[in-house]
Amino acid sequence: MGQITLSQVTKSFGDVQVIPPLDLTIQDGEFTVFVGPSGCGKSTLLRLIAGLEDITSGQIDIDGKDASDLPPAKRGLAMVFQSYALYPHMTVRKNIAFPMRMAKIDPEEQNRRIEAAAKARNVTDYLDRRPGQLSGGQRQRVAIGRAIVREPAAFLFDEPLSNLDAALRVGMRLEISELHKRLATTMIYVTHDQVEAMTMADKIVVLRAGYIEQVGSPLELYKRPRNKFVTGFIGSPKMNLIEGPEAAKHNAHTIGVRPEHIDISTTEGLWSGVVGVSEHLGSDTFLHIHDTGFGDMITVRADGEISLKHGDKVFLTPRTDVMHRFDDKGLRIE
Amino acid sequence: MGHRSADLLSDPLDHPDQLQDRSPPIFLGFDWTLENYAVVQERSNYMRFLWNSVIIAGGSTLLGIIIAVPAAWSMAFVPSKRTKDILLWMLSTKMLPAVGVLYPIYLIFVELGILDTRLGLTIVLMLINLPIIVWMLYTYFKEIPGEILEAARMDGATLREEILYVLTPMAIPGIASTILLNVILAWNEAFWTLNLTAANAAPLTAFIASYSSPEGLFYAKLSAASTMAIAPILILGWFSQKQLVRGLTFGAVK
Repeated sequence: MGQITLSQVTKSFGDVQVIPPLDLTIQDGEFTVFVGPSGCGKSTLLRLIAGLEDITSGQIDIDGKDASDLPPAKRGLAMVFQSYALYPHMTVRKNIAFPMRMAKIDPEEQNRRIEAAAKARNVTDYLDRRPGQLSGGQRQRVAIGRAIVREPAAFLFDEPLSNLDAALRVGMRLEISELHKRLATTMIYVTHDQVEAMTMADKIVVLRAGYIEQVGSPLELYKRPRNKFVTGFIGSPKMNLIEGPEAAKHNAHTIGVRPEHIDISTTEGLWSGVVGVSEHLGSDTFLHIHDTGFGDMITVRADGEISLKHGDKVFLTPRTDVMHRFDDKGLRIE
Repeated sequence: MGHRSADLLSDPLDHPDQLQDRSPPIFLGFDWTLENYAVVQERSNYMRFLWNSVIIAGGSTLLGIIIAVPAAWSMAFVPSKRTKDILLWMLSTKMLPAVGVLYPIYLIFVELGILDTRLGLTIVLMLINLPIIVWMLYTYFKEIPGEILEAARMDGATLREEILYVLTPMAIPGIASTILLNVILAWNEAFWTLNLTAANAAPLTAFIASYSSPEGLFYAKLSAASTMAIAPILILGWFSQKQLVRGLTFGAVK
């Protein structure tokens, strides 16, 4: 129903190739997240799938049919934008009705779907207001409502939560996940927020400069990042990367240890250092350890109750069983 | 000659024999009369001039908008490498003194047989104001977030539906102020209207000019004619104030 296949897809703007030949298959019903730093081509890739940008070469199949040259309207996809992109001159009701009006769905059916979408998205009370009178979270709910009523083959989300404040973001994240569980429709979600990627995705696609660095489930990416770049995107705080003699002990150019895989002690351990900033989150404490002799500081995740302060001398012991090793090209060594 | 613009309104109310140089001008200490309005209306057919003005100003603006909306749409939303150059080139045509092209245009008009016709004037005024219409609409369209139009495309709208149901309603304040400004510009345009008309298509500018003749200036009648000429546009401006202000401070909801 909603399988999307990209074969040797490229995109160039003038002489600049932003997407080098790329192959990707998104299974029907899968929640796929594109992550990567800004300018990595994740939004461009989404827009190519949407049809808002023309591909330079290659082929995009939606539902097994070649959609490469179809206009966005004919691809049967719905998109939710970062800026919500609601029609400011229409009421919420008319906004939600717009795709059905374009599809010439009969008005009674339209009303039925509007009521259902508004109820599910909790915006029934605002149906006669204009988008300008709604808060950010309400606007995004309306935008999602507008996407649902089309009953699309797949939903495309372009950083839909970046304009919301932190608390709302968590709530909306759950709503979108629940929506996916309920509809079981293919969803492609672009974000630079790795928490969103980890919590929502069935499959994460990590992109850098248009290249796919790794594709896998959140836990695969967490447990076995293919290279140093992926480590920077999966896991928070970031994995500690250590080069030099300490890495050589493990027959690697670089070793990677996640902050949660380091034991901290005030009496004994493999490495030593001095506590810099400690960030108390309540449940956890993130300690930034200096003077370890590794160049960069080491981040350690410790218990929330830990009582270490700036300047305290501490000892660190990495858990070698979950240590990651990388060669001089930054690629993972098994 | 201590004539002030404020006298424009009070002068037609003067008796002709009181019409002398005055300093300071007299506002209230005279006998009031509406006689000059009657004289002006009697001597020249105001309604005919008014009708010509309405047709020429309205027609040229409407024609201009019809051409400019798609032009501004393409320049604002699908710009090419040359878009900026084209915009500047269009504006550069406004830098040319009109009198510089009077002769060729006059000859073209004679050739086409549209001298002293409303059609000819409508076309010429549309063309001279087109750069401004396109520029204004381009600026307003630029304010509309592209994502909203993309959302319309994703929602299944064709290009026509996108322009009709999404772009145009969102740009209405901008389009309204563009229309108003261009009606005013065309209404008051005097160079081409005076040079390309004689009797048939002469609008209100020609009506005013007819009261400043080689035999002397008839202040009272000239003022009466001017007041009558600006009245319609003044009223239009008054009623569209709100739209105009909204248009000039236009911003789309994000």
